[in-house]
Amino acid sequence: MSRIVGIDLGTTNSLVAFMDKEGPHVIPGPDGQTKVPSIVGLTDNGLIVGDPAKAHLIRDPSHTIYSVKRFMGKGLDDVKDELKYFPYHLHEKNGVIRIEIGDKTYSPPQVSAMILKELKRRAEDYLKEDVSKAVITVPAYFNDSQRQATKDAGLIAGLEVLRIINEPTAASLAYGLQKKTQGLIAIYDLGGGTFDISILKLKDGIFEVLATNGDSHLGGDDFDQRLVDVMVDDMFQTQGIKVEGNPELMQTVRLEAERVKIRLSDETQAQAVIQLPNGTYEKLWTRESVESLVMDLVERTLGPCRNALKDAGLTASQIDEVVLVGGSTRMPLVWRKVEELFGKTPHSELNPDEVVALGAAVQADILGGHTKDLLLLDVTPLSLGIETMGGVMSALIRRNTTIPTSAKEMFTTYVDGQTSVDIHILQGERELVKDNRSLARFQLKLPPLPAGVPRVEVNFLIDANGILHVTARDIRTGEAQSVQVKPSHGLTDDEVEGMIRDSFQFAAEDIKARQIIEARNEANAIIVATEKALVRAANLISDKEAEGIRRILQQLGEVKAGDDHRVIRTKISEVEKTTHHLAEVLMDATLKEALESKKLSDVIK
Amino acid sequence: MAYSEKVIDHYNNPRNVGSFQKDAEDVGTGIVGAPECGDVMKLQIKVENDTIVDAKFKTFGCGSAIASSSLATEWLKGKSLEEAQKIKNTDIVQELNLPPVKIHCSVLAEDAIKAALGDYQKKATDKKSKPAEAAASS
Amino acid sequence: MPEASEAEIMEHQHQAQATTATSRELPMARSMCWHCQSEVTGEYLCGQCVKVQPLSRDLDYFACFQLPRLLNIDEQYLEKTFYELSRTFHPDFYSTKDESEKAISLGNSAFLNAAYRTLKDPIQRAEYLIRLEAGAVKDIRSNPPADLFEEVLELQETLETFRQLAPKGPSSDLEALRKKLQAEREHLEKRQAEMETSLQHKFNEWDQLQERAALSGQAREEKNTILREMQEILSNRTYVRNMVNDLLETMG
Repeated sequence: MSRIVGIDLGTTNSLVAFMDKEGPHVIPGPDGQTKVPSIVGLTDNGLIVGDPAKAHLIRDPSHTIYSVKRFMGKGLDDVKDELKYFPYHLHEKNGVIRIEIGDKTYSPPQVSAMILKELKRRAEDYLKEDVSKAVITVPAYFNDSQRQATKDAGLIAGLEVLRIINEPTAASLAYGLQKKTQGLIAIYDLGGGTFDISILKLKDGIFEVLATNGDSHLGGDDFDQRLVDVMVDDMFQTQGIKVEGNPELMQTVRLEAERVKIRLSDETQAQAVIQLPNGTYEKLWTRESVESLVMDLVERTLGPCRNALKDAGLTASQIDEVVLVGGSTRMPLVWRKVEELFGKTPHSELNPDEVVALGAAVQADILGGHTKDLLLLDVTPLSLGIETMGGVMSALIRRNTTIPTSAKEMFTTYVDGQTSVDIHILQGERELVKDNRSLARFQLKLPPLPAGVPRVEVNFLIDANGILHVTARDIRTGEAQSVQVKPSHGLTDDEVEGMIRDSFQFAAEDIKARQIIEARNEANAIIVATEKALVRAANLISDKEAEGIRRILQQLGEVKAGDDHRVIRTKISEVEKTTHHLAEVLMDATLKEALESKKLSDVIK
Repeated sequence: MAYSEKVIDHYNNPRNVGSFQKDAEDVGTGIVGAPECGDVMKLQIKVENDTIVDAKFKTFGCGSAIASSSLATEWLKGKSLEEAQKIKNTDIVQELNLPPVKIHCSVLAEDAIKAALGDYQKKATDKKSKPAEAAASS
Repeated sequence: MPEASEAEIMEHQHQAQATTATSRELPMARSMCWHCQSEVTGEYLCGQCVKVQPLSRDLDYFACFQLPRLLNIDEQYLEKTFYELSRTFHPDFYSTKDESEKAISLGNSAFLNAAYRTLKDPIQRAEYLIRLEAGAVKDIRSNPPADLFEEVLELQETLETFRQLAPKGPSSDLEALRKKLQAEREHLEKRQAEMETSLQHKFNEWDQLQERAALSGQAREEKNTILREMQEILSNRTYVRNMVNDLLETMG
């Protein structure tokens, strides 16, 4: 059976990990880095993912997608307040956001799939085997639509998603395994775009989640934005520069804000420096100034912590250990606030960037049947219900119920001959339908009988992924009834299938982009090496020959900027042919030197 | 299923919220509760010549319970005591399209009607028997 | 949101009649393994082909934990058994198995989780026992507590006045009202605690009766009396709890 990998699909960075006999490991890329920036760039030659795309972000922001996780499982209405911060156009189709890049549109799961594919490739290169199965993490506070969108992303990337697992619970697995912890622990997980708090009981290898809470729209991105707002305003006030309407500059400011924020975790002050077309903009930031700027955002995380404790029936002092997860918990301010709330020093021995991916790898190993002594019992973060008259939601499954779980409802008719009942499924904690999340609608078919006679039992089942399944059964006949559920903010099965087909086409484009990068790298290496050789062989070849070589090198330099890798390759082989004699001469010279030195050494001996 | 504007209005703008003087001879009061959810409903009728001329309610509970009582008071007005007895919770369920989980709200409304009618009839009987008692005792 | 075709398979298996359980093991849906047709007598996994077996539809939560229908429960035993059964049924251990086994594991797990959730909480446990012993709750509907209803109505009127006054800023009227509501809250919380104590007494009475009945045969009348009394306490507790919640919500 092929290996199952664990993937942390983050707002800012993504990682892939696997588990062997020694334990879980994060897989590094060729450069040794474990983090892949969750950024996708669409160039004329196909797409680029990760660090190259991050560089692309400043050059060509309108063709570069970042923080796509914020759009997963959402409609346009959900993100309307932050649209102005994104350099690309969005529209909505069938309740799903579509991102417009050039003349193409992509759904968020498609973009996430591009990141997943990069991780898949990274794992395959490292493990030297096919990788087709994965466990993918999501914020614990993700609703059904967001989870389903993540699962769709996996499918589009050619991965069978064996489990969607909550990020804080994944972190607890990695942490508990390493520390052999028992007792009550709180996982405080503040990432790039989301915040989660989970309270768990660890006992004899069972990881039982008692309660979870959070904010699926609060993270490091929001901190950066505060700094950006100040600097954008400042640049206009002091130098009359309008950053809005200049996407390239806006992205430069954003990346600089992020850099300053990160620096201030270790230092008490940091200088922001932004290159402008005519001059530079500089601003000295102190840790205090940033802390006062984001104080309210950090404090917004404390409410969910208190709610989670309340739902778990615990007080802060009963918690044995508090564990910090997510890059944003590196901020000393976050530390202090968490310490204040729980009255104990939080743990962060495990790399907060990697612990979620490591936990996903542990869960993958459990699902693969290798780890048998650990078991995770998670909960559903939000109450599930149906719409009742008057726009009121009536709950069927309460939040923080251990999953899998199911609720049955009996439906009948009130009018003779009525043949259907419309059912609207919701998720959330508010009383009114409009304040909750619409998940899906379906029409229950009923046999045309006198009022009250039909009896159809609908079963709402939340599986171990936190994803809802609906089935119906006619009580009179005992027959199962098919239910066609239409998601409110999700791709249909047909759409997902279409996207899987498209992704093969993208794959061809990816290969093209890759081939160009490789050909360019090779051309660069040849130019450098040949130039060095020309210097060394200055007295060994004729000026005419040297001139000819310089000319073709220049041609290669011009060709490599183009976007046809075949042209570059052709030119490379021309260079190789032209330099054949040069190589021979140099080789002879080297050989002679070697032989001479040998003789010399013989003599010495 | 499209709900009629009229029905939705019972949720958004419940009719006949308020109270009558509880001790008045022409008033019947029913106070009932649903032990499942803790909702409490008070429903009152005002009667002239065996006809309900007005009805009021106060309900503390979910929207469905409030809508059920609002609808019940609307239906009661103009009905004879005998007709009022025939109002069934299933009528309310059907009119308001209550889902299975909210059927007990309609039961509560039916119970409240029955209790109010009972209270009025008890008062009326007491009133009739009182002069007789007074005569007997003197 | 896909359809759960797996669940249909499970439903199908649930059609079969329940078999009688041995005292040590849970009743399964069928006396024959759904997969290899060999005889199963209460094992979670078939002795022949080691496939997981669906739990019987007739299984109640107490029996699921192999507990008698008593209201005082050893919480440590409950948790230990929950963890053990989770290790048997949880879908994590069936992820590489075929669709039918996955569906059975999902159904069994969902049932187990519901059972644990219900039995862990004393109030839910009592409500469940009443339903189990007496059929529908309505069948033993208790006398409506008229005085409590009056109290609810009166409190709601006061709360209404408070809600109207509060946005207008501090005043002596508001302060007086706040004091009154505060006192009411303390009084109601005390009452709620008293109700929980009397419920605990009923738990003990029930458990003693169950043990006696196990020796001396039927005690239906006595049982019904205790159930009715418990139902009454539970109902009244709901009204009081709602009042406390409303008070907390309004006063912040």
